[in-house]
This record gives sequence, structure tokens and C-alpha cells, in this order.
Amino acid sequence: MAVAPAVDDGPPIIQSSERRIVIPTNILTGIALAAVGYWAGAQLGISFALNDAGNTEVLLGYTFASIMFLVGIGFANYPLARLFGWRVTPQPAGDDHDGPWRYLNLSLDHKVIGVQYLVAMLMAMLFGGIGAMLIRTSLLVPDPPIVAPDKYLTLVSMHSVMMIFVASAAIVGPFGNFFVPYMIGTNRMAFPRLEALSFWLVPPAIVILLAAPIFGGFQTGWTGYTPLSEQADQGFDSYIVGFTLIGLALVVSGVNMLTTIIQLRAPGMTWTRLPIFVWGVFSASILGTFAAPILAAALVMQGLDRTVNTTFFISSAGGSPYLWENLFWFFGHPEVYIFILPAFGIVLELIVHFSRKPLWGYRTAVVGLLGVTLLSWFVWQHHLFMSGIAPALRPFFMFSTEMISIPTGIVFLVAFGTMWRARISMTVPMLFSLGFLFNFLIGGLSGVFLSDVPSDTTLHGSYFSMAHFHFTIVGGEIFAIVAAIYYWFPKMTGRMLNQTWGKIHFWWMFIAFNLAFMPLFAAGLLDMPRRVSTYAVSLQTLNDWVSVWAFILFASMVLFAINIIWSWFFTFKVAPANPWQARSIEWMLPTPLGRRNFEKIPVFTGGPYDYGNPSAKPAADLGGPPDRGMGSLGAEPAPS
Amino acid sequence: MSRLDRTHALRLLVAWAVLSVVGVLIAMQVHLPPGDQSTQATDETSLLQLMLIISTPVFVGVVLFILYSVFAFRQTRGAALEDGPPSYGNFRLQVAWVAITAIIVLLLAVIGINGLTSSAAETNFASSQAALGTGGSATTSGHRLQVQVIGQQWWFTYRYPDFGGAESLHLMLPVNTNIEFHVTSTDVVHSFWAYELGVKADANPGVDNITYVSTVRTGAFTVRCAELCGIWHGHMADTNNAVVSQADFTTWIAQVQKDNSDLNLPPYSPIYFPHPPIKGD
Amino acid sequence: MSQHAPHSRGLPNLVVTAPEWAPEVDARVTRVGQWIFIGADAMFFVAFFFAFFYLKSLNNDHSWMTQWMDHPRRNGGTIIAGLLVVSAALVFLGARAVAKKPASARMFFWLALVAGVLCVGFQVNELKNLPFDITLGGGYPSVFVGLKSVLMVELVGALIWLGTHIHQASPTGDSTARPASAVAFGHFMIFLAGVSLVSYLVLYFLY
Repeated sequence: MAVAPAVDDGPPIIQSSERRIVIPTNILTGIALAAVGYWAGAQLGISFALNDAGNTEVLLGYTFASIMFLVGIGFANYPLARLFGWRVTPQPAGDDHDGPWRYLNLSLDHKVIGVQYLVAMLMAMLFGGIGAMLIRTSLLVPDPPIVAPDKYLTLVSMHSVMMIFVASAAIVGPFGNFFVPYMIGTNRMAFPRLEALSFWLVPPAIVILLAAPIFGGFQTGWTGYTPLSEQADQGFDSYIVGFTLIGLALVVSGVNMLTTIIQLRAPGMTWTRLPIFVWGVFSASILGTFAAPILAAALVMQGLDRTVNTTFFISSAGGSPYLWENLFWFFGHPEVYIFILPAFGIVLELIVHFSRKPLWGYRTAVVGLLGVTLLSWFVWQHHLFMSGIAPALRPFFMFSTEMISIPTGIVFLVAFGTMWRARISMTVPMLFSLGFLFNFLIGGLSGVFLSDVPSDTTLHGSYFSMAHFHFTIVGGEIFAIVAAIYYWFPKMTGRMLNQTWGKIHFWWMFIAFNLAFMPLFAAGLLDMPRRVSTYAVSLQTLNDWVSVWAFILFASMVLFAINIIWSWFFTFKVAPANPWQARSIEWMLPTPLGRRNFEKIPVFTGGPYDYGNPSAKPAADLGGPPDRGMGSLGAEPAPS
Repeated sequence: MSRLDRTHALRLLVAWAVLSVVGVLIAMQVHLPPGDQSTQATDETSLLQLMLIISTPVFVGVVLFILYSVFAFRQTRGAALEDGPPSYGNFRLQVAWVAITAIIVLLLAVIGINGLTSSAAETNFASSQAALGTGGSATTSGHRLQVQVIGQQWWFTYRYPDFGGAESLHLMLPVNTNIEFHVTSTDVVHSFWAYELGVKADANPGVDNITYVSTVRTGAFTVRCAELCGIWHGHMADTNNAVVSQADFTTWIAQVQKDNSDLNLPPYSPIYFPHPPIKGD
Repeated sequence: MSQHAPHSRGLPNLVVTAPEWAPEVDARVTRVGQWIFIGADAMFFVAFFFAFFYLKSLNNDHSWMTQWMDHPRRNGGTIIAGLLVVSAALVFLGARAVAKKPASARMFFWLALVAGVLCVGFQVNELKNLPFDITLGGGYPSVFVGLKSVLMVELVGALIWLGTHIHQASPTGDSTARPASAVAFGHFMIFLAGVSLVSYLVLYFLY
């Protein structure tokens, strides 16, 4: 192991030349430079445009704006310092700013980044949710539609893309970044700058997406199919740049998260003691890192088609819409497992702590998560069953898609084994975890219906498929996110959410969600296609029922938002350090948490799930030797 | 397995068996699409029914387990928090679960693949088939009635190459016939969905997407577009289609040919631009 | 000079904060991160190679390559690929030398920068003088322009990164203290050169 440095009072400072320039970089300079960047990019685009569709200026504008935003907020500081030899000031907690202003600026502290992500994700969910309410309002009347068809499709596209942005990062972003270092016993992530970058790519993506209606919106939904996308005006450029930024965020977050989990585990934190939540984050990060670049490439191709007049996707000029379909779904299917794997991690984690029993079948659970990760690369063509792909391919993908339900079922097996003969506490996080199990069961079973081609013939492209993915993503991932918020809020913010309102929230949300989305299976079976602004009049009662319950569901989330804001900013009672009396390491630490995670790198002496064993040691020994700036790898081995 | 384990397990199993039977009986009453207007539709309906019947005990089991657990395995109210027994797993039980789920999904995959291959096969209709109209017989074994489906923003056009390329905005098909659809598009991706016939095939520009249907019952059917194709995607629907008797079809196609006789339609090709809609269609 | 960096209050500054890391920890973390990043970048290029072979096999409308399209000259392609390989080799040699012999490392890095800039120059020239008219469409022209453009953009980014290593290869520089980061960059350049070679083969010989 490494040798302790000779100086005992502080970390080593890297020597460099003395030049010191005082130029502020913060969110305000970021926004200012972004505006300048947009103008510069647009000017460049106008002068060098090869066609008059106006896409070059918007695409270059957005790209320059995003880059200049990142420069303005401070990401260029470190590269410039290395380029010109300015002083690099090491700081353990990695912050240039102080107080609440930290949360609005570039911070290298994973706890700050976690909270930033949480707020950003909740705001994006609000925007997406408003879009959903407008969609359901329009669907109250089939003919004439309340919202004009072109605006309706823009609404659908905005809602879906915004929610995809949320679903991609809403667990790994807030909770992965905040808690994985604690759970593996390290003071910082492997690449804090990359971690911060993965967050700061998100606000530009959201703003660029929200700008789409200014340019006429886009009518392709989140799947961006060609050649329909090529009929869109500059609104579609928002999709291209926004989605690319999110893809980059996935890659950058993944590189950081994977390296951290692989290399920075404290002594005693073996792979077989890793909390199942960390396994969920780990497996999702594998998918994010290696699938998102495919999306980025495909989006670049769409961008080139719109600016340089290439014809990647135009079949009358050597291209093919199938190229987009294959590239998009090769990313798109692992993407949905990026959504759900961390959710599995959360739900299993919470069920363990609220059953006060070890995780039943830990290794099987890990095999399940990794099995899903592996198989998700081999199923993408089930989105193309009706597309006219070579018929010989369909049996293989039917088979692989059916197979992926086996590791998914393992999650239920492990959850049930844990709950068997347990001592269950029906807290709010537990309620949401059980709600997850119910909703995901329905979502998963409906996936089986979609996985066989003969049955898919009726169901593909209909509201059945819509109901399937809303049950898995909303009923699944969103319920898991809400559970995680109720569970970890005390540790992240130092305040407890009101538990009574939490229970009301659960029943309100669970009932409204199921009553709103269950009938959509019937709608699909009754010949209603997806993404339509009008439908058969006989289905109006059904759609009205769905819309009303959707409004009620939205109201439950408003209640949740009020609970969050009230508890966070208007209550002053500090939450107890371990309100759930859970065994995992983050609950062994005080509330509120210190700026430095661990004064001494912990030595893990047992798993976090050793409930019921009176002679089990606590999860970690926090009294080890001091951290000498070597991170987890520098700690002394566990005392024998 | 302790006595307590066995008690709980037995209670659960009995409840599961009873509720599953009830559930399956209810599931069997559900009227599932697409129906029986074609052999493919009948196969698809059976598969959907099978899946619903298999899903029912799974659903019942999971919900029952959750509800039972939260009542039977609860913390004692008001008392201090207790831990559950330190059980880390049971290898045999895990293997059994994985094996059972694997068998079920394998079974469904095999049935599905079987259905896939049979949907492309011709149905052998009874020998009392009459040759249909000019342009050739459509029901002699080996030759299916060719219908080209051309999607565009925002309607479908149907073309019958066997009848000199006669075009119509409504799809009429003869009963007891094997039909081969050639689905294509002239602009963006659409999807030809004939709901009651159990047929869906994407219409891709520059692509000849082939799918089959074997009609067995007369009756009307709806065609909708099932792939987002732009603003009026929701309006791309037509209820004015039907499977008719062969005599009626012969009459109808003759009329269509007459209506088309003054148009100079190009020969059949997977890429095709139809004429604008005829007034009154 | 104070051993403890003051926690900045009030006016933020361009002096950047870097979390402390001992060199051994840094080396291991950098190595793992580098391979993961290279893997992700490989997937990015895989998408373009897939596009090449897929569109070629489909040959929609017989427009993969038509008679009026001239193939890009192989000489130009050879120079571009060759320069990138040379640059990558120089970076790699420099990275290995940076810990013990910073002076030769700097020389290698400067030469690599020159080779890289020349490569970008030749590439821009090739893209401006394409033997086919991109506005007439075509599968091969699209993939050619796409693949070459993204390679060039990544190369420009890499050259900026190389710039930082040039300065950091001074005796008091970061790379001398943390040679792992220079080695990681060397691996990335080799990866980029590899992609360039594969692109060269595919684009100039396998159409």
C-alpha cells in the first residue's frame, strides 16, 4: 500500500507557476456566456449554411451556447490552468463557493452535486408533468380536438423527451452521486470534475428542449423517427442537441461511477458486500456508458442530414430509415434498463431495511441485475417486429426478449424471500417500494404480451404499449424515486418529510396511477393507436376517465412538492441521525452530514444487511486511521 | 423448513390455488381482439388468451404474497423494533423459481415462434373456389391475391396488381382467400393496421414490406395507421373496409377497374406514387 | 507559501480547485477510467461503421455509390491516416518518457502536436475538395463525410488536451507528478489512430 507523506498536516500541494488571475466563474457568467455563444454559433451557421432550412444556425447556436455555458460556469478553469501553468489549489471538499451559493455553481463535492441533481430532476419532472396534463386535457374530446394537431404532437414530444431526460438520470444522479461514496467508504468520487460535468450538462439540455416550441416544435415523439423528423423545422434541432447532451451526461457519469465503484472501495467492502443499491447503479452505469455513444452518433447523423445534406436516412438517396431505427433502438433498449436497474436497487435496498432481514439470495440478486444488463443488448429488434425487418430475425429476438423476463423475475424472488417471516415496518418508503412491486408486475407482464410477434401484431403502436411503458417507468421507476426521496431526505437535507402526508400521498398516487393507466391497456386492445390527437368516439368515456384520474394523479404530486418545500425550507427541526434504525453506513453518520464524508476511512466489518444476527458487527468501523488524502486506497488494512 | 414456514406456505398455496382458479375463470371470459375474421386473427387471439391465462396466477400470486406479508410478517405495533430471522437464502428454492420461470417463458417463446411461422403459411381452403375476374385466379393454391398498400400522409391507397393495378381508397377483400400485402410508403414511415384481420405492417419508403392474411369470415374491418406519421396521424383511419363474398368482390373490383380505366397507371412497383383521390371516395 | 490553500470566500477566482489525490491512487483510477472512456468512444465509432456496412448492403435506390461519384483519392487518405498514427506514436513515446526525462517528453509532444495539426489541415482540405457533390446525396458520401468529420473533431479535442500535457511535462508540471495521466492520454491517442486506420481501410478500400 502507499506510503504516508512526510508532512502530517494536510494534503500535498502540486507545485506550479505563480500566475493568479481573478476572474469569476459562476452560474451568472455561465448564462451570459451561453447567450454570447448562441449568437456566435448562429452567426457562424448563417454564414456557412449549405442549405436554407435554417438548421445549421440553430444547431451551431445550441452547441456553442452549451460549450460557452460550461466555460462560463468554470469547467474551462482546470484545462486552462494545465495549459498555461496556473496554480492548482487542492481542496478536500472541492468548492470554489460558499454557503447556499454552492448549490447554484460548479461544485466538486458529490453531496452538493447530488442535491443539485435532485432539484433539477424534480423541476424537469414538473415540466414533463405539465405537458402530460395538457395532453390529457386535449384527449378529453376526440373531435374536434381541444389542441390543434400540430401543437398536440409537439406537446407529446416535449412531454416524452423531458420525461426520458428525467428517467435517465433521476436515480443515479441524485442518489447515486450522493450515497455511493458513503456506501463504499470513500471521501470523493474518482473523477469529481466529470461528475460535476454530468450534472451541468442537464440544465442546458432542459433549456434547449424547452426552446423547441419557439422554433415550431417537433412532431416525432421521443423516438425521432426519420424521415418524419426531416419534415420538422428547427424545433427538431432541440431534440438533436438536447438528447446528445443527455447522452454525454450518461457517458461521463458512467465513467466516473464505474471507476469509483471499481477502484475506491474501502477495506472490507468486497464485491459481495456491496449494497444492492450500488449494484443497481453499477449495472445501469455500464449500460449508460456504452449505449449512449450509439445514440450520440445517430443524432450526429441526423444533424448532418439537416445541415450538410448527407442522406443517411433518405431511402431515395442511398440512406435508410431502418438505419435510424436500428441505431436508435440499439441504444433505446439498454436505455430503458438504465431506467429500471437503479430502481430495482432502491426497492431491494428499502425492502431489506424495512423488513429487518438480510437480503435473501444476495448473489442471485446480483446475477439477476447483471443478467438483465447483459441481455438488454440482445433484444432491441423487438421494437422493430412490425417494421419489415428480415423475418428470420424475429424468432431470435422473441426468444431473447422472453428470456430477459427471467432475471427480472429474480428481483421479485429476492424481494419475497426477504419479506418472508420478516418484521415489516409499513413506513412511507416501504409503501412506495411495495407499490413498485405491484406496478412493475403489471408492467412486466404486459411486456410479455408484447414480446411475442403474433400478439404484438395487435398491440404494437397502440395504447397497450403506452400502458406497458408507463407502468414500468412511472409505476416502477418514479415510485422508486419517490421511495428514495422519502427514505434519504433526512440524510440529504437534514429534515424529515411529513410522514402522515407521505402516507396520504402514497395512497392517492397509487390509486390514481392505477385507475388512470390500467384502462389504457383496454384502449390499446380496442384499436386506439399511440400519439393520436383524435380517436373513435366510442372510446371517449374511457379517455375521459383516464384524463380525470391523471389530473388527480398530478394533484398527488403537487401534494408531494408541497411536502418537500415545506419540510425542507420551512421546518427547523433537524431530522434524527437514523430515523429508520437501518444498519447501512450512511445511517451510522450524523445528521446533518459533515463537509468531509469520513475523517477516517472506514473499515467494513460486515454487510449492511446483517439483521437478526445478535453477534453481527456493525456495518463499518469508523474509527480507523486518518485519511491522508489517499482516498480509500490509502487506508490501513483492517485490524486483525 | 420450520413448522412456521410450512404453515405460512400452506396457507398461501391454498389461497393462491383458489384465487387463481377464480382468476383464470374470469380471464377466460375476457373478449380479446383481434377476433376470428382471419386465421391469423384467430391464432393471435388464442395466444393473447393463453398469455392472459398464464399471467393471472402470476398476478394473483404476487399480489397475494404482498398482502399476506404485510399482515402476517408485520412489526408488533408500539413495541421496540425487532429484527427478522437471519436467513440469507435457500439455494434450492432459488433454482426452482428460476427454472419454473424459464420454462414458462420458453414455452411462450416456442408458441410465439410457431404462430409466427404459421401466420405466413397459406390456409388450405375447401376446393369450392371459383377463379376471380380478369387478371388471374386468386385462390388457386400457390398464388395469393396480391394487394399493394401504399401509405402516405395521411391516407392509405390500395392497389390490386392482379386486376391491372386497379386502385381504391377502401380495402375490399374476398373471403376464403390467401392474401399477400405489399406495404410501402411514399413519404414517411406509416403502419398498416387492419384491426379485425390481425394484420400490422410498417409502411417504409423505398421498402416492400410483405405480410399475409387468410380471410375466413365476411364482415367490416377498420384500418388505422399505427406509426406516428405527422400531424394527422390520428385521422389516418378508415372504417369503410370489408371482407366480402367472392361474388361481391368480383363485382366490386370490376367497378373499380372501370373507374380507373381512363387513368394511365404505371405497372406494379414497390415504389409508387398513386393518383390523387377520386372525388366521392 | 502556505501549505493549506485558503478556502475562497467572496470573490471566486480562476485558480481552480483540484481534489487531492496521491499519485498511486491517481494512477489506478486513471487507468480504469481511461479504458472505460475508450470503450465508450469505440461504441461511438462503431455506430458509423455499422452505418457504412448496413447502407452498403441495402444499397437503397442503387445510391450507395453511383457512377458519377468519384472515390476520394487514396493518397490524401494515406497522408491523413499516416500523420495521425505518427502523432499517436509520438504522444505514446512522450508519455512513457515524461516521468524520467521531461525534456524529451516535451519534444515528443511538440512534434506530435505538429503532426496532429498537419493532419487536421489535410483533412479540412480533403473535405473542402471532395470528388463528389455531397448535395447529390448517396450512402457512401454521407458515411464518408460523417466519419471523417467526427474523427477530425475528436482529433482537435485531443490536440487541445495534448497542449495541456506539453506544459505539464515541464519538471514542475502535473504530468511529471502524475505520469499516469499522460500515459492514459497516450492510450487514447493510439485508440484514435486505430480508429483512423480502420476508417482508412473501410472508406478507401471496402466501398
